[in-house]
Amino acid sequence: MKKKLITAALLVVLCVGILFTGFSFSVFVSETIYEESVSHLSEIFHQANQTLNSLVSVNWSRMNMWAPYLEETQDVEQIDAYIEKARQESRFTDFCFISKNGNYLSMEGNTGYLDLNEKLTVLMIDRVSVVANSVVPDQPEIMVFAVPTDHGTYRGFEYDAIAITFNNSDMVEALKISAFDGNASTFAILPDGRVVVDNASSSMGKVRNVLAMLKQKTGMGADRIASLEQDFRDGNSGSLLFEMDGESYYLVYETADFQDWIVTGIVAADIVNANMNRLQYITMVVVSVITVGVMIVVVAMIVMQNRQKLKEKDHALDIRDALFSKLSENIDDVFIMVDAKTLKVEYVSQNVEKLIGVTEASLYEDVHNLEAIIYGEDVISVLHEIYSIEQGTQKEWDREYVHQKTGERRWFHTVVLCTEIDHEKKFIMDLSDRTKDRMINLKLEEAAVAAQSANQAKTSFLNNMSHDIRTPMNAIIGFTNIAMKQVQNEEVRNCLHKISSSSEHLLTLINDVLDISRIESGKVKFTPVPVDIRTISDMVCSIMQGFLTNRSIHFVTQFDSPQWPYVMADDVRIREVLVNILGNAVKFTEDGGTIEFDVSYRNEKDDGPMYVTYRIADTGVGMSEEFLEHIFDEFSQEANNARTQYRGTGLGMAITKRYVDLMGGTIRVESTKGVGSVFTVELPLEKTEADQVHPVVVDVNAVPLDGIKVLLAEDNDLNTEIARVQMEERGIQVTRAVDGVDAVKQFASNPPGTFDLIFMDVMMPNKNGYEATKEIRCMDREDAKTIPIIAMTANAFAEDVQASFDAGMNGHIAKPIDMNEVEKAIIRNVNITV
Amino acid sequence: MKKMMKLLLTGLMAVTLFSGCAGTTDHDGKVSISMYMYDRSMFKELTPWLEEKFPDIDFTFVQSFNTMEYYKDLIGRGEEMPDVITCRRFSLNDAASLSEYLMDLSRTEVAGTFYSSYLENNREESGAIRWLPMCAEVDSIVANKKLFDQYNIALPTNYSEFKATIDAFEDLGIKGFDTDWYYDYTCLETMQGSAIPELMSLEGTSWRRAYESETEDNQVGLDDVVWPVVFEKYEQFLKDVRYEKGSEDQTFSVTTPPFLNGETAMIRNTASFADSVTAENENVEAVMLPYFGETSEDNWVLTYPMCQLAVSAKVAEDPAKEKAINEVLMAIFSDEGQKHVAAGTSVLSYNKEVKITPSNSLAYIQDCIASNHLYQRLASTEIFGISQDVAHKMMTGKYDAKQAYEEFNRQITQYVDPETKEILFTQKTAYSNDFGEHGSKAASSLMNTLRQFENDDIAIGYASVASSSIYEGEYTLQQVKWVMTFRNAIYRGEYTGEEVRRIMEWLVNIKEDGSNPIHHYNQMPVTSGLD
Repeated sequence: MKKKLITAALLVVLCVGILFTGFSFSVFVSETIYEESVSHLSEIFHQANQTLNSLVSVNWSRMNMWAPYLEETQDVEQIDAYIEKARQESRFTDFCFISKNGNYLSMEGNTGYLDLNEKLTVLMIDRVSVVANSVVPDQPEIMVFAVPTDHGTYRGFEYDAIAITFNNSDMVEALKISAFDGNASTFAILPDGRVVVDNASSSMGKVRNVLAMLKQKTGMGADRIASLEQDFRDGNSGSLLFEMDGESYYLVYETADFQDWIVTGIVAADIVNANMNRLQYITMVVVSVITVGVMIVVVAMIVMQNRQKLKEKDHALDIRDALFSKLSENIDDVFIMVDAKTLKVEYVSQNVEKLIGVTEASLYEDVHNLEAIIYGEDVISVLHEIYSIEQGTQKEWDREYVHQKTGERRWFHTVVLCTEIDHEKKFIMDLSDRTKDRMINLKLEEAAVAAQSANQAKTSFLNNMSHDIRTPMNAIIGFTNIAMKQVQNEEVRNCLHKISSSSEHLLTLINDVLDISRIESGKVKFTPVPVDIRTISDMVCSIMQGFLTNRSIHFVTQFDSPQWPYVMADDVRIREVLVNILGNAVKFTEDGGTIEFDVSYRNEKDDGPMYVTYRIADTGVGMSEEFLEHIFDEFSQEANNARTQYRGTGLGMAITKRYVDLMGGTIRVESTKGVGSVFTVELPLEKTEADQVHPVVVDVNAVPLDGIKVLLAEDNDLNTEIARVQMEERGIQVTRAVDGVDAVKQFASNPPGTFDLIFMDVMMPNKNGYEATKEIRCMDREDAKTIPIIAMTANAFAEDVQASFDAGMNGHIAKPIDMNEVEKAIIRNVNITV
Repeated sequence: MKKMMKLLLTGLMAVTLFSGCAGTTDHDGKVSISMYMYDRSMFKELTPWLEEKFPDIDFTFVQSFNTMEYYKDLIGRGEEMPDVITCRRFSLNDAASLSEYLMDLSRTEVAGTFYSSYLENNREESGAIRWLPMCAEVDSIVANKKLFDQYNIALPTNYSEFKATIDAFEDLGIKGFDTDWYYDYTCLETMQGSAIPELMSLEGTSWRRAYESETEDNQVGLDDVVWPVVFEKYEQFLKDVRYEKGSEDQTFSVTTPPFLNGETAMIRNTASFADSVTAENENVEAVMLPYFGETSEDNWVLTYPMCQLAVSAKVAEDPAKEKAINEVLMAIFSDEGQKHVAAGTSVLSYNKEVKITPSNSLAYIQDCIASNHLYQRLASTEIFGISQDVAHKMMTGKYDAKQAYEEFNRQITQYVDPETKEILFTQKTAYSNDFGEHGSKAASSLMNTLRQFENDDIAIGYASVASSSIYEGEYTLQQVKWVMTFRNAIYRGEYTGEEVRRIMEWLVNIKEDGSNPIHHYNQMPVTSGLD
């Protein structure tokens, strides 16, 4: 629309421009023609005027020449001959001798009175040549050129002047214009416009007074006529164009320099401009033809361009239609366009019948036919809600249709868009067939459920495996330790020691296998807590002391001081990473070798994380380059014999790498076979406030545990015995509950303060540890909420730990129990007065 | 019973009061043009022709006077200048004070029809031309050629022959030359006619231009070269024509019958008169003779435009009227129009487009005409008056030529018309001269006054007998004269009722030849004393 307006405006501007140009050209041509014509006419009439002036000038010259001759010559015949010759030269009408009183004698012998009015005085008294109009009855008006002479006598007539006369009509000859084929009118007029010499063309008619003619016949304004008369009086030359009887005339005027005559020419403009008009006409025709031609070409080009555009548009529309048809046929979307006011269907894609089994015709007939095939009852009608859709917005529904041909149920995602097309509100419905997607999703859901079941099975298996292996391992290790304390026989002790050592190895193997499995299954989570970063390295050093027992390895540490030690970190995982690396270093370093443990910190930004770098270098056996590439692979161990020399699962570095990755850190290894290895671990750690960090637990050995009263809920007798023996060795009073129900019962039946702490096995018959804990916490007694309950279970995974906390417990100890952990748990939770 | 009836007034009346009533008429829908004709002769052919030619123009023709003083008095009375005026006695001097009321016609088409050399005589210093001359009237010596032939006396060709001819007729008991010496124009023309060569000499024409260019502050007296000769020659002329003392009161009616009866051989009159009397009298063949000079080459014919025409300046304010008047003027000065004006008696036209065939009466002055010996009388108002006064005193012997010259010279620089000196009465009631359905109030008043003045029973006249309205205020003799139209006379007599009836029928009924005596509503009769 806008484009059309612009095009129309351009066309209007073009037309106006052409008209304006044409008008300007016409004005220019008219002005030029006027100027040229006036110039041309002025020149022609100037020449006529010059002829008149020449005539006058010649007459004066000759008169002045004749006078002396006549004064000297007395012979009449000579005078007659002389004058006759002069007449032939000058073609005057008459020659006269003039007496003092104005009487004349012509050469023909005629006498009379030549009325020169006041000029007689000038001629006779002032002795000055004069020219005057005069008239004799029944004769044409004459022009008299008179010069004074000495007093003389001719044929007895006394004279004092001589004169020649011209009929005014003879003067016409001087003003005759040969141009314009006799159609030019020439007048000698007086300043008041009266015509003295009339050389009018036949077509002009009688002109007696030019000014009167202009006033009466042309309607020329009084001001213009007055201006013209003033020009006449002032002797100015000029020109003008006037209309008379519907025809244009040029009037040019020029003072005659004779009497007070003005030579005036009037010629019809058509005659003057005959050639110019023809030229103008031809020019205008040519220009018009060219203009029309250009306009036709322009219009044709515009039409062709429009046609081409329409063609292209049609082609594009055809292609679009074809594409849309093909798409409609081949895609699983049904498009329907409905008029918003009438709900009349204006478009239905051809594939409607294929997709929902309804014909196009039936939908064109009534769009409600679409609603009739919806599967199910109480389904919201799209057509009911369609009016709530605002223009430019859309609504979506998932609906199930019954295919009217096959009877199968098909799922469609229905989108209704409200829009405006050609100022009319329309609803465009897109029924997208999602039946296949729906089927795939169903299968995926089923697969997911199966996978979830498998995973749960695996988890369950791992948990069971962990629990079930750890439980006997707890007994083996526990009793081995007990036995070792009881047996003094060196060989037996040696055997027990080997059993203990193998058990621990076995436990490590089990832990590693379980860990890697858990990591892979995503069970292991990175759980940062506020810590003092320095305690981790201290803790690791303590652990290292244990590793280095009975070894002569130089353990060198270099700990930098962090600017801010309080960070969010998973201290357990970091410790495991460092212990893994340091453990390997100890394992692969011969006695006499050196292990370096350096800790450094850096801050890239004040408000950014702090980076801690742990560097562990040893002078051990080192690794080949080939192995380095696989060091973090699972079950990778260099050289077969290594396994026999250095026992391990080959999972340690893989677990380490996973933990580092889990914490967003990096681990690098540099190693030279036979020289040693360098592990560098860098971890980013968010800073935290100091008060968020729990104080470091004091040394457990320094805390007396005597008299601590513990309720031990443990269904397994062996585990109960192991725990009881080892705790009682530390002076702890142990009361056993055989299951969860018993544990709740004993707590409830004893007054507050009976127990300082409860160790709660999880997997117990009748009532597991979680339920028992929740029940205790729900009891209406003061210590129900405060009594520390520590899980003591073979469920050693992190989620198990979390489950313990979630059940309301205060801590978690994994089986086989480590008394150190038991003691730490007691110390953390029981207010012990030292 | 016979009643004394006054049929128009002639001469003068020292009327003390005008009384009466009349009606006026408005004529709408046409361009109205008021034209004042100096003489009733113009009503004979010109006005009917104009009315017929311009049916869309509502003409009001008024018979006025031959002098410009009449128009000056109209203006003086507060009247507007009529649209078109005519005047026989003309001089640029007399016309000067009317210039502001008259249109400059120099740029009109009609002015372009004139020989420029003639029209130049009427050009003012400003360049304006306000007066256009009608064709020329020949006013010279009229001879009854039949009488000459009867007595075998040749028509004279020069002054000596003229004198001899007079003597010859006197010897036969026939008056050689006589004329109506009473009139000022006769005095003027015979005086100037006796010395035309002198007046047309270089000195004479130079003086005339000076005189006609005089201003109120610069009065020009007679020159001392030409004019003494003029009076000498006039004195001789009176002697040579055997002027008889006491003849200075002779009027037209006194001198004409003897001429027609063959008792007088020559009189002064116009060519139209000559043609008229020739046509009406078997014993008369009146021919025009010139004023004679010593030789035939010194003979001159005295002429003057039959009248001069001017247009009111106010006409220019009404384009429609101006256009109409331009058309009327073109008609008047056309060949046909001038013939209606001249009625076939003129000698020449001043107009290029008019060819007038001379009447037979002009046959003996053709030489003068051909040689352009046509003297245009010097005709200012004062010249008329002074000429009459001085000539009469020369006729009575009171002045000789020298005294006449001196008296003329004295008067010409301080002339006052005696008829304008004395206030005769004061008119208390005004009567309009507008012609309406019931005639002219002024004309009715005039009729009543005339009837009462002579104590007659009935007065009958034309409505146009009143040439102007009757105004409130003072009246001089001259002004009284202007109330009744120029050259109208009163005829008194006793008539029976039947005769009165026939007179009235003659005045209003269409004649057998189809002519209508009432060309215009102002020609309807106006009466007093008729019940």
